[in-house]
Amino acid sequence: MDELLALFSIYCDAEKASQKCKLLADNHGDAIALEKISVSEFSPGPVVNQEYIARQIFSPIHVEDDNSIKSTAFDDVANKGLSVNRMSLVEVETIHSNGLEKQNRDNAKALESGRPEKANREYLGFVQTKVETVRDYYDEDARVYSVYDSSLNSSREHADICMIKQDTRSNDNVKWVKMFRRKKLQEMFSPLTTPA
Amino acid sequence: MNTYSTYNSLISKSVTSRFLTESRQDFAFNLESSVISQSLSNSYYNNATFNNDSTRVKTSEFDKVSTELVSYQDLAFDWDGYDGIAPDYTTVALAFNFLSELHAQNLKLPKLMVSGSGDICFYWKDKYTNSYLEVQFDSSNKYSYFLERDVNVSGKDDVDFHEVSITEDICHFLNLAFGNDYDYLMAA
Repeated sequence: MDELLALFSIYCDAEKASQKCKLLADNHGDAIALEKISVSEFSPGPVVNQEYIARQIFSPIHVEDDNSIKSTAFDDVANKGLSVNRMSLVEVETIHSNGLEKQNRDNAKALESGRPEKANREYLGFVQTKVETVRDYYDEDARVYSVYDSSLNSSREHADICMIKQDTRSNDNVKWVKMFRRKKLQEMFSPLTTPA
Repeated sequence: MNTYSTYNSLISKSVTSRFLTESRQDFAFNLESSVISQSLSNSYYNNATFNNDSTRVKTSEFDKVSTELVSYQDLAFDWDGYDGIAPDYTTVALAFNFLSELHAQNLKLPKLMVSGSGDICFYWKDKYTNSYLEVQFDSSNKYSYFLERDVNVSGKDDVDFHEVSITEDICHFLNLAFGNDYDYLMAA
């Protein structure tokens, strides 16, 4: 369990952290047990089922014509973990203002470094879902996703969704099953909520 | 406008200069091979006059989709705000060749997606038959896909496009959902 807990530490090796979900999936039972304890010293407590979580969107490439978000926007869920915000710990307005601040900060940084072509960060809003919906998704009678309270010093509302279910049907089914589950996760989220 | 000039226009706009300057000719080679193979073997192109509206619309749609696809290679690091990377040359080339083959076979062109891991996906949704197809291209130079129809899901990993081209079940799905087969079924 300590080894899994260490994956959420700021001191975790970057390579390991980028494969966090795979390592959690190798230990499915412990990965589920880990949801019940805090994985971050900055967290006010584990994420509970009744909470809502929001994923900020920073690229129009991910947005569909009907304002839903394409499933590839959720790709991190299979490797480093999908960063989300716990809406019980942060106001909607703050999620938007944080997004806009990041947009302005990144664009200013690009301009300062003499790369105006990279000053194209655009905060578009967020999509949201209930934690219970994510945790209730099963495949082959096993939980597919877990949600952790991976608070950061600068953002205690930070959490991660991880795909913790390996595909056991066949070694030839690793990619498409992940794609399929990614789409199912996308369907759990609301359309885009845009800043006022 | 014929197919060859469409490709050349795309290549000259945003691909060739970059690939040639970086001495990465494999992508250009793939594109060229695709053009040559189509122009030699596909009667659709050999016989097309490109004067009727339907062909013009399809060519214009192909231009639009392929331009979007090629633009993915220019994504900067962190393009998605979460340290996303751009697709590599192999991935873009494979997706382009697959797209060209769809166009050559007069199959419905896809919508596009790209992930922060640098994978490119094509997808088709059909609300009438409640079905969905997604094809993913990655740097392994192969593609993976799944088909979903109501509660039935099936898929396959790592298909070699150069060996198999577009699989039969993908062609069947696209014909059923978007082609003449579907029109026939709806009319029946």
